[in-house]
Amino acid sequence: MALRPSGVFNYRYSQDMAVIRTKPQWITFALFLLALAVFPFFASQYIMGVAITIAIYIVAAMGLNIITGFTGLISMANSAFMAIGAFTTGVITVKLGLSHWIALPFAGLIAGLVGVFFGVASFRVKGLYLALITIGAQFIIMYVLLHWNSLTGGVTGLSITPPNIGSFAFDSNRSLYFLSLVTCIVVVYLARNIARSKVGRAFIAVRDNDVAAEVMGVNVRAYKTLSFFVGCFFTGIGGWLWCIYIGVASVDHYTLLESIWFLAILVIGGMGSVLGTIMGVVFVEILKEVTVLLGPVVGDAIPAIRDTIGTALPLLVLGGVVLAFLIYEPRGLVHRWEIVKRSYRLWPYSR
Amino acid sequence: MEQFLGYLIPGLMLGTVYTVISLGFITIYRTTQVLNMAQGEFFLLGAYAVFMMVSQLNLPIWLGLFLAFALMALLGAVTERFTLRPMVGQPVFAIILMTLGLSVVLRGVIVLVWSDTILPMPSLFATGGVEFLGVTVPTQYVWFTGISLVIAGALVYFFNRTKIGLMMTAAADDIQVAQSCGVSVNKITAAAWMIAAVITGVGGFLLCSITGVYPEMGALGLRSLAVVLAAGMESLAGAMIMGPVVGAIEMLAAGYLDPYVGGGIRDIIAFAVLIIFLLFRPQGLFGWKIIERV
Repeated sequence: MALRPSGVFNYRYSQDMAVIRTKPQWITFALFLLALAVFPFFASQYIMGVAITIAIYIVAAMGLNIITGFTGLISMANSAFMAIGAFTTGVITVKLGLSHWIALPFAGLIAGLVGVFFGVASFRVKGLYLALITIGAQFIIMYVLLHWNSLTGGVTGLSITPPNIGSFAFDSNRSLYFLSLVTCIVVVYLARNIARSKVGRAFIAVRDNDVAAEVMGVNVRAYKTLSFFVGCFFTGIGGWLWCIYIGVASVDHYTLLESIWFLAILVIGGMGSVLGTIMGVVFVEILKEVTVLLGPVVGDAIPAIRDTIGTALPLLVLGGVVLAFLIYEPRGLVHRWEIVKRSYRLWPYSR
Repeated sequence: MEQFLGYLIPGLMLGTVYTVISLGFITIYRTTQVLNMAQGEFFLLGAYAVFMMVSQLNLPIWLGLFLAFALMALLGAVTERFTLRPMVGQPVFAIILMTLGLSVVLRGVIVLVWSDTILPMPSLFATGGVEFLGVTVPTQYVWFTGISLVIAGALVYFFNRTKIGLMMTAAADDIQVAQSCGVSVNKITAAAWMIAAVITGVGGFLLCSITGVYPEMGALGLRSLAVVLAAGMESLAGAMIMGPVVGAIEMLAAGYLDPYVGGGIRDIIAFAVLIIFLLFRPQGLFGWKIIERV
């Protein structure tokens, strides 16, 4: 932030506050959006699937980023909150027969309220202990969703029809891509602006030193509650998108391991950074796909492990990557990117 | 009453597995302030190591057991040296994620080598039943309980009477003072991890020799967090008491509540205990310190 490109000065307050400052940045941004818009007309179905997954995971991971990255409250129940979004959608569209667009705010709202319910624990305990509570929350939420047969359909779950506007149904990968992309852009826009508003600065103050924040007049309890609500709201929206994409709200997808991957995304991308979360999601999702593709190749090369490598490889590679990032680059990919950007701006005086 | 005892007694006995796993947690936590989320995987690896030595390599059982637990000690030492030591001084969040990442990698290794099917374990103990307060309990359970309690007792003795144990207690109390009194923190940290890996592994072998071993057994690792919390994060004696208590609560809940909620309550009741303790008595029943709270 402190280092601007050479020759760029602020003359007005609005310039100082702008996220996108210069004309070249606007042009690059417009080109990037254009590229995202035309991308589905060239990509294969498989690549489209990966792109949709990335967009949905950015939405859900952004929620966790607000809770864990900005406010410093460790949540290990993110996939359970996503599940609540998904099942809320299922109940509203299947059991009540209402539209998906009515389900959208409720998916976020109910996930947010459940998040607040468990987040209230963060008043009393923090750090390690909050992590333990949210592990408990993960198992208890998933247990309730699995066993509340009359509402959630139990093991089979609820199958979700594609949403539609008028006569246009979001049933192809291409239309789902645009739906996820637009939601993703809105969520990124909101998250970026929360981060630099009063609320976001209060979150960061609570994370860095809650006693100092309290002394300065930040209402720590209110902001912790708000953080859980907003974070779980976004995650719930992620659940809404995900169940529409895979066409079913069922319990198998939302495991503790999935919650751990969300935390891994934050660590790999960079905690408390919107750009970092996006980078983390892209990195982790592409790595997941690569390990899935590599599994059979490794299995053919080493026949002794052919049967098990498919399950084991993603665990080994992603777990190993998390360990490596924690040891060698705990500030994540976004920190690397900042270094590159700074040296580019200072050129030829950069080291 | 008959039915109540029929749930209570096996519950108390099997609850000692939580004691053993919790002792692993506590050994590491009180020495290094690290909560090892990979404890469930250590538990599994203990069982799989015995399976490998005895069933796959066909070693005589006592030699196999010895080698398996030597391997566990090595695993503990390697884990500490290469994943936790670089993290000294890092925030709690990073250390939790480190142990979580470790658990994922170890799970990957387990699935890779032994796949995810149920494997039968070699057993040391005769099958059969023992009559106890009008309830018939499998003999294996009795052995299992006895050995768990012996391990717990030995660990209490170790921490309170032996030199290394006292060093660990000293380091737990105040790491800087301990260091200036000549305690090598690196060595005792490594020792704590080795001890934790071995006793957790023994617990894994004992329980899995009754049930057979498969990766889902690792869930016991997270469930025993309830025992650790209820006992207080540093209290060995607390774990000895709370392990059977939580085990009994699970069995009773499974017996009396399952018909109403459609089964499987046993998998989550420990987490409910955990959350209740965290909300109302976060330092546990027998813990030392006032915990970090706002």
